[in-house]
Amino acid sequence: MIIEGGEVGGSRRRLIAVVVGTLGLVAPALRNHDSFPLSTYPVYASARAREATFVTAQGQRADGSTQRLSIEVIARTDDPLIAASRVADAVAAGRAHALCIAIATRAPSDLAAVVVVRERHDVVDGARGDDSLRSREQLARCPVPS
Amino acid sequence: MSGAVVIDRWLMAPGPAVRLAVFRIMIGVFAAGYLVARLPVLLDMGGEARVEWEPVGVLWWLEDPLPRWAVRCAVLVTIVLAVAFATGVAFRVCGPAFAVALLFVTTYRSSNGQLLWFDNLLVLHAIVISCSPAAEALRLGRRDGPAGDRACYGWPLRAAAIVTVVTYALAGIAKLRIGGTAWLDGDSLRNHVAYSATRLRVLGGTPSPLAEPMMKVGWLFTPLAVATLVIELGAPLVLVVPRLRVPWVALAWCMHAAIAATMFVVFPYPLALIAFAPLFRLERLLPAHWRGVAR
Repeated sequence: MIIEGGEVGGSRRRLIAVVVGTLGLVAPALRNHDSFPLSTYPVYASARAREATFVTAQGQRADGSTQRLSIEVIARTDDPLIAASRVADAVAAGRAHALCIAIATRAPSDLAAVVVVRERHDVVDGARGDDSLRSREQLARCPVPS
Repeated sequence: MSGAVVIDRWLMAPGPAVRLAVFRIMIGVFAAGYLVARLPVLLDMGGEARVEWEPVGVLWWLEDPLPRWAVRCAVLVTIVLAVAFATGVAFRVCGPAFAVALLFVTTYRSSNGQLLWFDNLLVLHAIVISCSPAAEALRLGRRDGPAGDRACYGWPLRAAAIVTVVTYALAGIAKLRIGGTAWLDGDSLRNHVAYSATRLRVLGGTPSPLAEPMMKVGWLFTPLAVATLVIELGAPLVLVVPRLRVPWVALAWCMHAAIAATMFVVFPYPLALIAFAPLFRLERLLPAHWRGVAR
Protein backbone atom coordinates (compact mmCIF):
# COMPACT_ATOMS: atom_id res chain seq x y z
CA MET A 1 0.00 0.00 0.00
CA ILE A 2 1.57 3.26 -1.09
CA ILE A 3 -0.14 6.48 -0.10
CA GLU A 4 0.68 8.96 -2.83
CA GLY A 5 -1.32 11.76 -1.27
CA GLY A 6 0.38 14.50 -3.24
CA GLU A 7 -1.29 15.41 -6.45
CA VAL A 8 -4.56 13.62 -5.78
CA GLY A 9 -7.08 14.34 -3.13
CA GLY A 10 -8.08 17.60 -1.59
CA SER A 11 -6.53 19.46 1.29
CA ARG A 12 -9.53 18.66 3.46
CA ARG A 13 -8.99 14.94 3.07
CA ARG A 14 -5.32 15.28 3.92
CA LEU A 15 -6.11 17.47 6.87
CA ILE A 16 -8.51 14.83 8.17
CA ALA A 17 -5.76 12.23 7.78
CA VAL A 18 -3.35 14.41 9.79
CA VAL A 19 -5.92 15.04 12.50
CA VAL A 20 -6.85 11.34 12.71
CA GLY A 21 -3.19 10.31 12.79
CA THR A 22 -2.32 12.83 15.48
CA LEU A 23 -5.39 11.85 17.50
CA GLY A 24 -4.25 8.24 17.24
CA LEU A 25 -0.89 9.24 18.70
CA VAL A 26 -2.42 11.13 21.61
CA ALA A 27 -5.33 8.72 22.16
CA PRO A 28 -3.48 6.69 24.84
CA ALA A 29 -2.93 9.90 26.82
CA LEU A 30 -6.57 10.92 26.41
CA ARG A 31 -7.73 7.46 27.53
CA ASN A 32 -4.92 7.14 30.11
CA HIS A 33 -4.19 3.70 28.71
CA ASP A 34 -0.62 2.72 27.95
CA SER A 35 0.05 0.27 25.15
CA PHE A 36 2.50 -0.39 22.33
CA PRO A 37 3.49 1.28 20.05
CA LEU A 38 0.95 3.96 20.93
CA SER A 39 1.82 4.98 24.46
CA THR A 40 1.34 7.53 27.20
CA TYR A 41 5.15 7.45 27.67
CA PRO A 42 4.97 7.32 31.47
CA VAL A 43 8.63 6.36 31.84
CA TYR A 44 10.16 8.25 34.80
CA ALA A 45 6.94 10.28 35.04
CA SER A 46 6.08 9.44 38.65
CA ALA A 47 7.11 11.62 41.57
CA ARG A 48 9.32 8.93 43.04
CA ALA A 49 9.88 8.76 46.78
CA ARG A 50 13.29 8.30 48.37
CA GLU A 51 12.41 4.88 49.77
CA ALA A 52 11.38 2.04 47.48
CA THR A 53 10.53 -1.64 47.74
CA PHE A 54 12.23 -4.25 45.59
CA VAL A 55 11.56 -7.94 45.19
CA THR A 56 14.66 -9.93 44.37
CA ALA A 57 16.47 -13.19 45.03
CA GLN A 58 19.75 -13.99 46.72
CA GLY A 59 21.89 -17.06 47.07
CA GLN A 60 22.68 -18.65 50.44
CA ARG A 61 25.85 -20.60 51.10
CA ALA A 62 25.94 -23.61 53.44
CA ASP A 63 27.30 -21.41 56.25
CA GLY A 64 24.28 -19.11 55.97
CA SER A 65 26.11 -16.21 54.32
CA THR A 66 24.47 -14.59 51.33
CA GLN A 67 25.71 -14.20 47.78
CA ARG A 68 24.33 -11.92 45.06
CA LEU A 69 22.91 -13.59 42.01
CA SER A 70 23.27 -12.18 38.52
CA ILE A 71 20.33 -10.53 36.81
CA GLU A 72 20.32 -13.32 34.21
CA VAL A 73 20.03 -15.98 36.95
CA ILE A 74 17.26 -14.06 38.68
CA ALA A 75 15.11 -13.27 35.66
CA ARG A 76 16.55 -14.70 32.42
CA THR A 77 17.16 -11.23 31.02
CA ASP A 78 19.79 -8.50 30.97
CA ASP A 79 17.16 -5.78 31.23
CA PRO A 80 16.55 -4.55 34.79
CA LEU A 81 13.11 -3.23 33.87
CA ILE A 82 12.01 -6.68 32.71
CA ALA A 83 13.77 -8.42 35.62
CA ALA A 84 12.09 -6.22 38.23
CA SER A 85 8.73 -6.72 36.56
CA ARG A 86 9.10 -10.52 36.34
CA VAL A 87 9.98 -11.10 39.97
CA ALA A 88 7.50 -8.54 41.32
CA ASP A 89 4.68 -9.93 39.17
CA ALA A 90 5.46 -13.50 40.23
CA VAL A 91 5.35 -12.59 43.92
CA ALA A 92 2.22 -10.49 43.48
CA ALA A 93 0.56 -13.51 41.85
CA GLY A 94 1.41 -15.71 44.84
CA ARG A 95 4.12 -17.62 42.98
CA ALA A 96 7.09 -16.74 45.16
CA HIS A 97 7.97 -20.39 45.78
CA ALA A 98 7.70 -21.33 42.10
CA LEU A 99 9.91 -18.34 41.26
CA CYS A 100 12.40 -19.47 43.89
CA ILE A 101 12.58 -22.97 42.41
CA ALA A 102 13.03 -21.60 38.89
CA ILE A 103 15.89 -19.36 40.04
CA ALA A 104 17.47 -22.21 42.00
CA THR A 105 17.73 -24.30 38.83
CA ARG A 106 19.81 -21.51 37.26
CA ALA A 107 21.85 -20.67 40.37
CA PRO A 108 25.52 -21.68 40.81
CA SER A 109 25.73 -25.19 42.19
CA ASP A 110 28.06 -24.16 45.05
CA LEU A 111 25.11 -22.41 46.71
CA ALA A 112 22.97 -24.24 49.23
CA ALA A 113 19.73 -22.34 48.71
CA VAL A 114 17.98 -19.43 47.08
CA VAL A 115 15.79 -17.00 48.97
CA VAL A 116 13.24 -14.66 47.44
CA VAL A 117 13.03 -11.47 49.48
CA ARG A 118 11.14 -8.22 49.59
CA GLU A 119 13.46 -5.39 50.61
CA ARG A 120 12.90 -1.74 51.36
CA HIS A 121 15.79 0.56 50.49
CA ASP A 122 16.71 4.21 50.74
CA VAL A 123 17.59 4.54 47.07
CA VAL A 124 19.78 7.63 47.49
CA ASP A 125 21.90 5.79 50.04
CA GLY A 126 21.87 2.81 47.70
CA ALA A 127 23.16 4.88 44.80
CA ARG A 128 25.89 6.31 47.05
CA GLY A 129 26.98 2.78 47.86
CA ASP A 130 26.03 3.22 51.52
CA ASP A 131 23.98 0.80 53.59
CA SER A 132 20.52 1.37 52.16
CA LEU A 133 18.53 -1.57 53.50
CA ARG A 134 15.64 -0.48 55.73
CA SER A 135 13.74 -3.76 56.01
CA ARG A 136 13.75 -7.28 54.59
CA GLU A 137 11.08 -9.93 54.41
CA GLN A 138 11.82 -13.46 53.27
CA LEU A 139 9.08 -14.67 50.92
CA ALA A 140 10.40 -18.09 49.90
CA ARG A 141 13.40 -20.35 50.39
CA CYS A 142 14.33 -23.36 48.29
CA PRO A 143 17.41 -25.59 47.95
CA VAL A 144 19.72 -25.39 44.96
CA PRO A 145 19.65 -28.75 43.15
CA SER A 146 22.97 -30.53 43.40
CA MET B 1 -5.69 31.87 4.62
CA SER B 2 -7.34 29.30 6.88
CA GLY B 3 -5.41 27.19 9.33
CA ALA B 4 -6.32 24.07 7.41
CA VAL B 5 -4.75 25.43 4.24
CA VAL B 6 -1.60 26.51 6.09
CA ILE B 7 -1.22 23.04 7.62
CA ASP B 8 -1.90 21.41 4.26
CA ARG B 9 0.68 23.54 2.49
CA TRP B 10 3.25 22.72 5.16
CA LEU B 11 2.48 19.01 5.11
CA MET B 12 2.39 18.76 1.33
CA ALA B 13 5.39 20.98 0.57
CA PRO B 14 7.37 19.16 -2.12
CA GLY B 15 10.55 17.33 -1.17
CA PRO B 16 13.21 15.38 -3.05
CA ALA B 17 12.89 11.62 -3.43
CA VAL B 18 16.44 11.15 -2.21
CA ARG B 19 15.69 12.74 1.18
CA LEU B 20 12.92 10.25 1.82
CA ALA B 21 15.11 7.43 0.53
CA VAL B 22 17.93 8.32 2.93
CA PHE B 23 15.50 8.12 5.85
CA ARG B 24 14.27 4.75 4.58
CA ILE B 25 17.86 3.49 4.49
CA MET B 26 18.51 4.85 7.99
CA ILE B 27 15.50 3.03 9.41
CA GLY B 28 16.30 -0.23 7.63
CA VAL B 29 19.99 -0.26 8.57
CA PHE B 30 19.26 0.74 12.16
CA ALA B 31 16.51 -1.85 12.56
CA ALA B 32 18.65 -4.64 11.10
CA GLY B 33 21.60 -3.72 13.33
CA TYR B 34 19.40 -3.30 16.40
CA LEU B 35 17.64 -6.62 15.92
CA VAL B 36 20.95 -8.41 15.37
CA ALA B 37 22.46 -6.75 18.45
CA ARG B 38 19.45 -7.83 20.54
CA LEU B 39 19.28 -11.27 18.93
CA PRO B 40 20.03 -13.28 22.11
CA VAL B 41 17.13 -11.58 23.91
CA LEU B 42 14.79 -11.79 20.92
CA LEU B 43 15.55 -15.46 20.21
CA ASP B 44 14.74 -16.21 23.84
CA MET B 45 11.17 -15.03 23.28
CA GLY B 46 8.34 -17.47 22.73
CA GLY B 47 7.05 -20.33 24.82
CA GLU B 48 6.68 -18.09 27.86
CA ALA B 49 4.83 -19.26 30.94
CA ARG B 50 1.14 -18.52 30.59
CA VAL B 51 1.18 -16.41 33.76
CA GLU B 52 3.87 -14.10 32.33
CA TRP B 53 1.89 -13.45 29.15
CA GLU B 54 0.10 -10.09 28.96
CA PRO B 55 -0.57 -9.34 25.29
CA VAL B 56 -0.71 -5.66 24.32
CA GLY B 57 -1.35 -3.58 21.22
CA VAL B 58 -2.01 -5.48 18.03
CA LEU B 59 -1.48 -8.77 19.87
CA TRP B 60 -4.27 -8.12 22.38
CA TRP B 61 -6.21 -11.06 20.95
CA LEU B 62 -3.40 -13.59 21.36
CA GLU B 63 -4.48 -15.55 24.41
CA ASP B 64 -1.43 -17.81 24.65
CA PRO B 65 2.25 -17.18 23.95
CA LEU B 66 3.50 -18.51 20.65
CA PRO B 67 5.96 -21.42 20.46
CA ARG B 68 9.59 -20.36 20.47
CA TRP B 69 10.26 -21.57 16.94
CA ALA B 70 7.49 -19.35 15.58
CA VAL B 71 8.80 -16.23 17.30
CA ARG B 72 12.36 -17.04 16.23
CA CYS B 73 11.20 -17.34 12.63
CA ALA B 74 9.46 -13.97 12.91
CA VAL B 75 12.60 -12.34 14.31
CA LEU B 76 14.80 -13.71 11.54
CA VAL B 77 12.29 -12.78 8.84
CA THR B 78 12.12 -9.26 10.28
CA ILE B 79 15.91 -8.91 10.01
CA VAL B 80 15.81 -10.02 6.38
CA LEU B 81 12.95 -7.61 5.68
CA ALA B 82 14.86 -4.78 7.39
CA VAL B 83 17.71 -5.33 4.96
CA ALA B 84 15.25 -5.39 2.05
CA PHE B 85 13.67 -2.20 3.42
CA ALA B 86 17.07 -0.52 3.48
CA THR B 87 17.93 -1.59 -0.05
CA GLY B 88 14.52 -0.62 -1.39
CA VAL B 89 14.12 -3.91 -3.24
CA ALA B 90 10.46 -4.78 -3.99
CA PHE B 91 9.50 -1.99 -1.63
CA ARG B 92 5.78 -2.10 -2.33
CA VAL B 93 5.78 -5.55 -0.75
CA CYS B 94 8.85 -5.52 1.48
CA GLY B 95 8.15 -2.06 2.93
CA PRO B 96 4.77 -2.83 4.51
CA ALA B 97 5.87 -6.40 5.29
CA PHE B 98 8.83 -5.06 7.27
CA ALA B 99 6.63 -2.61 9.17
CA VAL B 100 4.18 -5.37 10.09
CA ALA B 101 6.96 -7.78 11.08
CA LEU B 102 8.73 -5.16 13.19
CA LEU B 103 5.44 -4.23 14.83
CA PHE B 104 4.84 -7.91 15.63
CA VAL B 105 8.29 -8.60 17.10
CA THR B 106 8.44 -5.45 19.22
CA THR B 107 4.84 -5.83 20.40
CA TYR B 108 5.56 -9.44 21.35
CA ARG B 109 8.54 -8.25 23.36
CA SER B 110 6.30 -5.82 25.25
CA SER B 111 3.73 -8.54 25.91
CA ASN B 112 5.69 -10.25 28.67
CA GLY B 113 4.30 -8.22 31.54
CA GLN B 114 6.40 -5.11 31.06
CA LEU B 115 5.70 -2.46 28.44
CA LEU B 116 8.94 -1.19 26.97
CA TRP B 117 9.32 2.28 25.47
CA PHE B 118 12.53 1.84 23.51
CA ASP B 119 11.08 0.86 20.16
CA ASN B 120 7.91 2.97 19.81
CA LEU B 121 9.35 5.68 17.57
CA LEU B 122 11.20 3.21 15.37
CA VAL B 123 8.04 1.22 14.77
CA LEU B 124 5.87 4.26 14.12
CA HIS B 125 8.40 5.70 11.69
CA ALA B 126 8.69 2.36 9.90
CA ILE B 127 4.91 2.26 9.50
CA VAL B 128 4.77 5.79 8.08
CA ILE B 129 7.64 5.26 5.63
CA SER B 130 6.39 1.84 4.55
CA CYS B 131 3.23 3.55 3.26
CA SER B 132 5.18 6.03 1.14
CA PRO B 133 7.07 5.90 -2.17
CA ALA B 134 10.35 5.79 -0.28
CA ALA B 135 12.22 3.54 -2.69
CA GLU B 136 12.02 5.65 -5.83
CA ALA B 137 15.60 6.78 -5.24
CA LEU B 138 18.72 5.10 -3.88
CA ARG B 139 17.33 1.66 -4.61
CA LEU B 140 19.55 -1.35 -5.10
CA GLY B 141 19.88 -2.11 -8.79
CA ARG B 142 18.61 1.27 -9.92
CA ARG B 143 20.85 4.30 -9.79
CA ASP B 144 18.57 6.90 -11.28
CA GLY B 145 15.63 8.42 -9.50
CA PRO B 146 12.81 10.81 -10.26
CA ALA B 147 13.76 14.38 -10.96
CA GLY B 148 12.31 17.31 -9.09
CA ASP B 149 10.62 17.73 -5.77
CA ARG B 150 7.18 16.26 -5.22
CA ALA B 151 4.67 16.37 -2.42
CA CYS B 152 4.57 12.57 -2.18
CA TYR B 153 8.22 12.61 -1.06
CA GLY B 154 7.68 15.43 1.39
CA TRP B 155 4.68 14.39 3.47
CA PRO B 156 6.08 11.13 4.85
CA LEU B 157 9.01 12.94 6.45
CA ARG B 158 6.74 15.61 7.88
CA ALA B 159 4.43 12.92 9.24
CA ALA B 160 7.44 11.19 10.80
CA ALA B 161 8.53 14.53 12.28
CA ILE B 162 5.06 14.99 13.77
CA VAL B 163 5.32 11.53 15.33
CA THR B 164 8.68 12.40 16.88
CA VAL B 165 7.64 15.71 18.43
CA VAL B 166 4.25 14.42 19.63
CA THR B 167 6.01 11.51 21.32
CA TYR B 168 8.27 13.86 23.27
CA ALA B 169 5.38 16.18 24.11
CA LEU B 170 3.39 13.21 25.45
CA ALA B 171 6.31 12.21 27.66
CA GLY B 172 6.36 15.74 29.09
CA ILE B 173 2.60 15.75 29.60
CA ALA B 174 2.83 12.39 31.38
CA LYS B 175 5.31 13.84 33.88
CA LEU B 176 2.96 16.70 34.73
CA ARG B 177 -0.10 14.43 34.77
CA ILE B 178 1.42 11.64 36.87
CA GLY B 179 4.16 13.36 38.83
CA GLY B 180 2.58 16.82 39.00
CA THR B 181 4.60 19.85 39.96
CA ALA B 182 6.52 17.65 42.42
CA TRP B 183 8.42 16.37 39.41
CA LEU B 184 9.97 19.81 38.98
CA ASP B 185 11.66 20.12 42.37
CA GLY B 186 14.52 17.82 41.35
CA ASP B 187 14.07 15.31 44.18
CA SER B 188 11.96 13.10 41.98
CA LEU B 189 14.54 13.04 39.18
CA ARG B 190 17.32 12.39 41.71
CA ASN B 191 15.28 9.53 43.17
CA HIS B 192 14.70 8.07 39.68
CA VAL B 193 18.45 8.03 39.03
CA ALA B 194 19.06 6.60 42.51
CA TYR B 195 16.25 4.06 42.07
CA SER B 196 17.78 2.76 38.82
CA ALA B 197 21.17 2.37 40.48
CA THR B 198 19.77 0.64 43.57
CA ARG B 199 17.51 -1.58 41.47
CA LEU B 200 20.50 -2.76 39.47
CA ARG B 201 22.48 -3.39 42.64
CA VAL B 202 19.61 -5.32 44.26
CA LEU B 203 18.88 -7.34 41.13
CA GLY B 204 22.46 -8.43 40.60
CA GLY B 205 23.48 -5.88 37.99
CA THR B 206 26.13 -3.18 38.07
CA PRO B 207 24.93 0.40 38.47
CA SER B 208 26.43 3.30 36.58
CA PRO B 209 29.59 4.66 38.19
CA LEU B 210 28.15 8.15 37.58
CA ALA B 211 25.16 7.57 39.87
CA GLU B 212 27.21 7.91 43.07
CA PRO B 213 28.89 11.25 42.24
CA MET B 214 25.56 12.57 40.93
CA MET B 215 24.04 12.07 44.39
CA LYS B 216 26.63 14.47 45.80
CA VAL B 217 25.46 17.33 43.59
CA GLY B 218 21.78 17.17 44.47
CA TRP B 219 21.18 20.81 43.49
CA LEU B 220 21.83 19.81 39.87
CA PHE B 221 18.62 17.80 39.60
CA THR B 222 16.24 20.77 39.78
CA PRO B 223 17.60 22.48 36.65
CA LEU B 224 17.86 19.09 34.96
CA ALA B 225 14.19 18.35 35.75
CA VAL B 226 13.11 21.75 34.42
CA ALA B 227 15.27 21.27 31.32
CA THR B 228 13.75 17.83 30.72
CA LEU B 229 10.24 19.25 30.76
CA VAL B 230 11.21 22.19 28.54
CA ILE B 231 12.78 19.82 26.00
CA GLU B 232 9.78 17.49 25.97
CA LEU B 233 6.95 20.00 26.08
CA GLY B 234 8.76 22.33 23.69
CA ALA B 235 9.25 19.65 21.03
CA PRO B 236 6.33 20.74 18.80
CA LEU B 237 7.92 24.19 18.42
CA VAL B 238 10.61 22.75 16.16
CA LEU B 239 7.98 22.08 13.51
CA VAL B 240 7.13 25.78 13.23
CA VAL B 241 10.49 27.37 14.10
CA PRO B 242 13.11 25.60 11.97
CA ARG B 243 16.06 27.36 13.60
CA LEU B 244 15.19 25.61 16.87
CA ARG B 245 15.77 22.18 15.34
CA VAL B 246 19.51 21.88 15.86
CA PRO B 247 19.53 23.16 19.47
CA TRP B 248 16.47 21.08 20.34
CA VAL B 249 17.93 17.90 18.86
CA ALA B 250 21.23 18.59 20.64
CA LEU B 251 19.43 19.00 23.96
CA ALA B 252 17.20 15.96 23.44
CA TRP B 253 20.23 13.86 22.51
CA CYS B 254 22.09 15.09 25.60
CA MET B 255 19.07 14.14 27.71
CA HIS B 256 19.13 10.57 26.35
CA ALA B 257 22.91 10.41 26.72
CA ALA B 258 22.59 11.51 30.36
CA ILE B 259 19.91 8.85 30.98
CA ALA B 260 22.16 6.20 29.45
CA ALA B 261 25.22 7.35 31.37
CA THR B 262 23.61 7.69 34.79
CA MET B 263 20.89 5.04 34.71
CA PHE B 264 22.16 2.54 32.13
CA VAL B 265 18.81 2.87 30.35
CA VAL B 266 19.52 3.20 26.64
CA PHE B 267 17.10 4.54 24.05
CA PRO B 268 19.09 3.54 20.96
CA TYR B 269 16.89 5.08 18.27
CA PRO B 270 17.16 8.70 19.46
CA LEU B 271 20.75 8.18 20.58
CA ALA B 272 21.55 7.18 17.00
CA LEU B 273 19.85 10.47 16.00
CA ILE B 274 17.53 8.68 13.57
CA ALA B 275 14.48 9.66 15.62
CA PHE B 276 15.27 13.27 14.73
CA ALA B 277 16.34 12.69 11.12
CA PRO B 278 12.96 13.66 9.55
CA LEU B 279 13.58 17.23 10.73
CA PHE B 280 16.59 17.67 8.45
CA ARG B 281 17.63 17.76 4.80
CA LEU B 282 19.07 14.28 4.82
CA GLU B 283 20.26 14.39 1.19
CA ARG B 284 23.12 16.59 2.42
CA LEU B 285 24.62 13.49 4.03
CA LEU B 286 25.28 12.08 0.56
CA PRO B 287 28.15 12.90 -1.79
CA ALA B 288 27.14 15.54 -4.34
CA HIS B 289 27.20 13.12 -7.28
CA TRP B 290 24.77 10.79 -5.48
CA ARG B 291 22.40 13.67 -4.89
CA GLY B 292 22.66 14.55 -8.55
CA VAL B 293 21.99 11.02 -9.69
CA ALA B 294 19.00 10.66 -7.48
CA ARG B 295 17.43 13.93 -8.43
